[in-house]
Amino acid sequence: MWPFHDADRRRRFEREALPHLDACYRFALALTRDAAEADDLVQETMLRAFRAFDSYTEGTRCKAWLFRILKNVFLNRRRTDGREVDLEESLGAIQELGWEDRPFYRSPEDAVLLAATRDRIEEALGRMPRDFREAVVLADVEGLSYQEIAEVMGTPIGTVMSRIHRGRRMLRSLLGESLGILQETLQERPHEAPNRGPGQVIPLVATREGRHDL
Amino acid sequence: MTCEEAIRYEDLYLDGEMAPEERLRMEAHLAACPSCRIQVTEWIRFRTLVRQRLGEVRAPSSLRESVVHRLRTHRAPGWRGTLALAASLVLVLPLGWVLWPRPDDLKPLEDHAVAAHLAVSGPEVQGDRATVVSFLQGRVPFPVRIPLPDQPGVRLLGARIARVGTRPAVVYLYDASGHPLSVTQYAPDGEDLPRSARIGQRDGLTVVTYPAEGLVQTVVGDLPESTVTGIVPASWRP
Ligand SMILES: [Zn+2]
Repeated sequence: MWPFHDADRRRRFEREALPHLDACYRFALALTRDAAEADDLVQETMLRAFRAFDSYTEGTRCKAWLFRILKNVFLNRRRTDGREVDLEESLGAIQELGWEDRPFYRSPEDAVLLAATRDRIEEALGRMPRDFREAVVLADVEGLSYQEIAEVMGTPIGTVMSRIHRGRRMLRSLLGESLGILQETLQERPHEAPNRGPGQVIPLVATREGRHDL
Repeated sequence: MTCEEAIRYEDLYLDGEMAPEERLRMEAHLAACPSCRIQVTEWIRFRTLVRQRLGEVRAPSSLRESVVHRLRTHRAPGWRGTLALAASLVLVLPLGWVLWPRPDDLKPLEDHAVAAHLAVSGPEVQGDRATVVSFLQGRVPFPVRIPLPDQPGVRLLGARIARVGTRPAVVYLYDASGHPLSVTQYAPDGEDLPRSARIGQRDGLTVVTYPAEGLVQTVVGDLPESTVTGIVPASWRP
């Protein structure tokens, strides 16, 4: 291969992939919760992506493609150093959190909006099992489609939907808790009474349909 | 749509994952049902909040610099990895060696050739011999001679017009079993008329200069010297 292949490739890579460096770093942080490890992960991801850039087809979303590589690098590293957290452990963590029983306060929402700083949100995310944190970050922060998230996470779309659904409610609950503006006992939402006043609590789990099963 | 359905679909709605007709039904329900509307609106605000707060996180500038630097110094896989393969490659150069009494005269010219090799950003003309010849014809003040004959493992990629010092030159670009190989060709200028082959190393690159059909040619590549030595007729080998 002559250097000009590399030079062309590099220019294309710098134009198409490099703009997603911040997003990659955010995703790496969401996975690792550690700045140094995220840094490392992103470096390896970008080099790998550059080497594999010929396999990237234009038209697919470069960000989602990079995230898939990043996730693979992350999992390979975890497997190598024996720190892989599997789904069972994640589920165990949910039980520990007991999040299913937690209500979240639905108002005054403005208080949440004002007080929910980046640190607070990150702290709340950090208390969530990785799979749920990952799904929420990919959907809510990075705006990936369910299909793209399924490819990054290596799970069926139904699982993605379930993780987003539960993850969002977990995050909102943990955030409300850390802001100290929770709480009442969880009540099933009365569907026959649509006009709820502010200050009421709505259920965390809107549905237990099969499609949202893990 | 019932409230129950609306709640079941609120994530899909939020994420823009509903089919258009479902979305319309959802929106019709939200328009008619304040309770669901409030709930969905809160989720939208919550999602926006999370996106805004976390979306402002940027990669540290040291990380960006490091990535850019590593990309720029990165060499394509295989260049170094295929050295063993390349060692088995024997380049066949055309005959026509003449003695070069003062090889030191060539050094500055070789420097130009090495610089040209490293600076190549792409060929001006890409393609086979016929394409390259027809492109170069009339553009250089000496006869167009494709420097290397066809041989297995060596492929002409293209050429570009360059200068060696003040002299017009052509840089031919080859792929030699995965290794970039250039041949810089120019007309001799009397004082440095090559009379013997010259093989040496420069910046980790093997450099061979030899005359052919009245032109001076400098081959530059990251092939091992022993491989390139194979191209020199036995009587001229150092
Ligand atoms: Zn409703």
